[in-house]
Amino acid sequence: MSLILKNVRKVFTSYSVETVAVDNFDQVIEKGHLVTLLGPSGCGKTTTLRIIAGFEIPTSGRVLLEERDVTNLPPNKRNISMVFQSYALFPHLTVEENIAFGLKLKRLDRSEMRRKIVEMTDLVGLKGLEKRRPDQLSGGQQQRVALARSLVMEPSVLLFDEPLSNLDAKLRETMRLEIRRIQQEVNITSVYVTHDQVEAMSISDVIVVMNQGKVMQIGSPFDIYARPENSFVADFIGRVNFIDGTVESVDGDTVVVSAGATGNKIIGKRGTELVPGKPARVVLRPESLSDRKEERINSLSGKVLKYVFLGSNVEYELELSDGRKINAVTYNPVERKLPVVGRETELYFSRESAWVIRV
Amino acid sequence: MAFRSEETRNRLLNLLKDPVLLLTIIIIFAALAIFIVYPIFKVFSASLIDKNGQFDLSAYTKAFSNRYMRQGFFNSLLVAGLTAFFGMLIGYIFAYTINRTDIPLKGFFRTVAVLPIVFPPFIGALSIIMLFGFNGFITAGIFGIRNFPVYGLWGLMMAQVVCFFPVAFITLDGVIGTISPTLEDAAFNLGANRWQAFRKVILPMSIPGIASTMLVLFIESLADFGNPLILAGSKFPVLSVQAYLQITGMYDTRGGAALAVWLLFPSIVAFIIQKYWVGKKKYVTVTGKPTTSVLKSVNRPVKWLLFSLCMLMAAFTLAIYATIFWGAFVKAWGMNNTLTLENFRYVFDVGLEAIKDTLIIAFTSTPISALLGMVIAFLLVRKIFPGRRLMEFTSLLSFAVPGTVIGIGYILAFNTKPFLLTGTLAILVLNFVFRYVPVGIQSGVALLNQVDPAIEEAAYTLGADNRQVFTRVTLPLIVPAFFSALVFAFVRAMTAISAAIFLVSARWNLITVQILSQSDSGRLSEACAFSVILIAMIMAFILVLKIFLKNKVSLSGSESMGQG
Repeated sequence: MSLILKNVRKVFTSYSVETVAVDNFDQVIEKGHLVTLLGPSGCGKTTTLRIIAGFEIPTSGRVLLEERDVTNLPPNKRNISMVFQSYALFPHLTVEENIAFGLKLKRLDRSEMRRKIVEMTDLVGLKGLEKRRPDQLSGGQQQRVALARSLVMEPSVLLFDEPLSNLDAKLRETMRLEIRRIQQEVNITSVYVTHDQVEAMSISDVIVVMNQGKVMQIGSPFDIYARPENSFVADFIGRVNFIDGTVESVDGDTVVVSAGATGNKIIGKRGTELVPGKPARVVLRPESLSDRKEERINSLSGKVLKYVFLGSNVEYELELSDGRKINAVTYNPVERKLPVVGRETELYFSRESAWVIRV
Repeated sequence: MAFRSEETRNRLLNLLKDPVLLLTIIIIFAALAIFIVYPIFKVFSASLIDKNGQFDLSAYTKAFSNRYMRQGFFNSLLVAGLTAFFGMLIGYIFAYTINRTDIPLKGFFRTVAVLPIVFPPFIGALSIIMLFGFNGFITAGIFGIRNFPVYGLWGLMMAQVVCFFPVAFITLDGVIGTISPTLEDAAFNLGANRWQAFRKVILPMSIPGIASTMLVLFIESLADFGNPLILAGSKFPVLSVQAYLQITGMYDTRGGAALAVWLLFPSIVAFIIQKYWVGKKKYVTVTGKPTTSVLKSVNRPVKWLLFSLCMLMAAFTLAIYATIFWGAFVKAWGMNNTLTLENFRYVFDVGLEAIKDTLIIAFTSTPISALLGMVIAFLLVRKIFPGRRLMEFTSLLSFAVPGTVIGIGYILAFNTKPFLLTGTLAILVLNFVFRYVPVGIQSGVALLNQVDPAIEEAAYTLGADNRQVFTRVTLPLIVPAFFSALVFAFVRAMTAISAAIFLVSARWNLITVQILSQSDSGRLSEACAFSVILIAMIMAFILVLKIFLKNKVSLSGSESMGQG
C-alpha cells in the first residue's frame, strides 16, 4: 500500500457559492501501479491530483503516504514529484541544471549527482542535450526533461497532470508508450490525470473515472470498457449504444430484458443489481454487432441509414423498426461486403456483449 | 459547517509548518505598520490631541480660520487639477502622435518624453526661474521683460507639467498602443471619417486610461514640494509648503500636522478612486497587434500639426535641462555669463559631505527597497494568507500619501523611544525604502502574473521550501522587474525632497536639500552645479546597470516562461 486517500473532499467557495470539486474520494493506490484519473474537464481530477501533491488542502479527509499522514505537509516535504501539463521547466536553467535542481537542494555529493544525471538522461533519451536551455528543445524533449527532473528525485509517488496534451497527436502516442515503459522500468507508483480515454486505456493499471467531483467507477481498463457500472462510464469511454427496456427475469448473471416498443427480448449479462419489472439499460458496443449469426443468440433488425468507410473499418447506422438508431462497426471491410443504404439488415450479438445495468 | 473548520485548521497547521513564510509575513506586516501606518497615525493624533492629552480641534479651526491657509488648500487643489489636465493632454498628444502617425523622429520624442523621470523633479522650477524670472534668459535677456509672472500659479503649473507629463505619456502610450488599428479600419469601413473614428472609437477606449492618468498626476502634483517651494512665492500659498513652514519656521507642529491632514485627504480619495474604481475598468484587451497596418488615422495637415506640438514640447523640455547645464558653467546667471568651473569647486568644497551622504543613503535603501518589493509581490500573487488585501493596500498606500505628510509623520513618530531615529542615517533609509517600494511591488506583480505558477510548483515538488523557491526560481524569473524597481528606487532616492527635508540633519544631508537652499539664497549657478552632479550620478548608475545586465543573463526569457 503506497498512497491512500481517505474520504477526501474539497469545496471551493467564491462569493459564498460553494462548489464541490472532489466529493468523498476514497482510494488505495498500490505500490508500482499507474492509476489514471479520467474524466471530462471540471470533474475534479486535477484538484485531486493537487491535493495529493499538497498544493490544495482538502476541506476534509486525509492523505496517507506509506502509512504516514501527509495531509498537512507542504509539497516540498512529501517526496512526491509532479510532471506538469506546461512542463514547467525552469527557463533560466539548462537541461542538466533542471535535472540537478532537486538534487542540489538535497545537498547530494557531486559525483553521486553526476552519476544520477547521466543515468537519467540515458533513461529518458536526452543524451547530448544536457547543455541546452528549455527554449531550445522541442515539446517532446521538454516533457522528457520534466520527467527526468521528477524521476531523479526517486519520489514515493510520481504525479502526471495531463502531461501530453500540449503535444501533437503522433508524438503523444510515442510519448505515452515511453512514459509507461519508464514507469514500469523504475516501478514507480504513479497517478496520472487525463481527459483522453485512449491515453488512459493504453497506460493504466487502474482507471478512476470521475464526473462532477464524484468517482463513477474504479477498475482495470478492461473492466471500465467492458463492464461499466453506470451509463456515464459506458458513454464516456468509447462509443456505445443504449437499448432501454424492462427486466423480465434474472437468473444468476443472466438477464432477460424486453426492449421497449419492439418487444424484442435481449439475453444479456447482469452488470448491476436488477429487479424484474424495473427498467434496465442494455449497453452494446458497436463492434459487438455482427452480420454473422454463428454463436450469437441476440439479434436486431433494421434499415441501413448511412455508412462511413474508414479504411480499416466501416461505421454504419441502423434504424430499428421502432425508430431507434443503432451504431455498428465492421472490421476488414475489404474482405467483407460494404453495407447497402436502405437495405433491411439483421445484426447479431452475444450474451456476453449485452451488458445490462440499472438506469 | 464542520468541514469548513477542518479546512481552516489544516491551512493553519500548514502555515505553522513553514516558519520562514510565517515569519516573513509577520515581519512585513510589522514593518508596514511601523513605517507606514504609524507615522500617518501620528500626524492625525498630533493634530487632534493637545498638550494635555485632550481631544482638541483647535489646530484645525485655527488653520481654517486663517484666510491664508484656506487659500493654500484651494491653491493646491487648483494647481493639481490644472497639472493633471494639461499633463494628461500633452502625454496624450505624444502617445497618440507616436502610435498613430508616421512622423519622423519617433525615437527622439519617446526619449524626450521619458527623460524627466530620471531628473530631480524640481529642476524644472529652477530652470523656469532662470528662463523667465527677473534675470530670465528669455524674458529679461531677449525681451527685456523684468516682471513676468513666473512666481505663482502659471510658473508652478508649467514646472509640474514638464516634470509629470512623462508619467501620463507612459500610461497612455500603453493604452493607445494596444488599441488595434483594425478597429479604426472597421470604423472607416462603416462610413466614419477620421475625426469620427477618433471621437467614437479611440477616445472612448482611452477614457479609463485618461482618468487613471489624471488621478495619478493629481496625486503627484498635490504631493510636490520642491517646485512650489521655489516657485509658489508668498502670494500663492500651497499646502505642502505651508505645512513645512509651519513646522520649521513657526515651530508649530500641531498646526503643521493639521495642514498635512488637509493635504492627505484629497490624495487618499484620488488614490482610492484610481485603484478601486478606475483601475478595475479594464483598458483594451486585444490579442496581438496586427503586424502590418498602414497608419491612416490622421491626414497630412493634422499630422504635421501634431508633429509641431510634440516638437514644441520636446524643445521646451530640452531647454529646461540645457539651461541647468549651461547655468552650472557660468559665473552668475543673467549677470555675468563668463564660463567657469568655479561653481563645481564650490560644490565640492561645501557639498562633498552631502554628495557622499546622498550616495550612501541611495545605495543602502535601493537594494532593500527593490528586494522587499519582489518579496511582497511574491506573497501577494502566490500566497494565500489572512490579511493579504490589507498588506497590498498598506504597501501601496505610501504612494498616495504626500511626502510632506510622511515626513511630518516620521519626525513625530521617531523622535522618542522606542523608535528614536531622528538625525540618523536609518530614518532616511527607512523612509526611502518604504516610500519607493510600491513601484517594485507593481512591476513584480505584473511580471509574476505572466509566469506560469507551475514553474514554482515544480520547484516545491522537487523539495524546495518557500525561501528556496523565491531565491532560486521566482527571483531569477522576475529579474527585469527587480532591476526596474532598482532603477526607480535609486532615482527617487537620489532626487527625493518632500519627506526627506524633514529628516535631514547636520550629520546626514542630501544634495537635493542643498540645491533648494542654494537656489533659495539666489546662488542659482551653484544650484545648477549640484544638479548637474546629481544627474551625472544617476546617469552613471543606469549606464553601469545596463552594461552589467547585458553581460549577464539575457532578460528576454519571458517567452519561455510558459503561459500565464
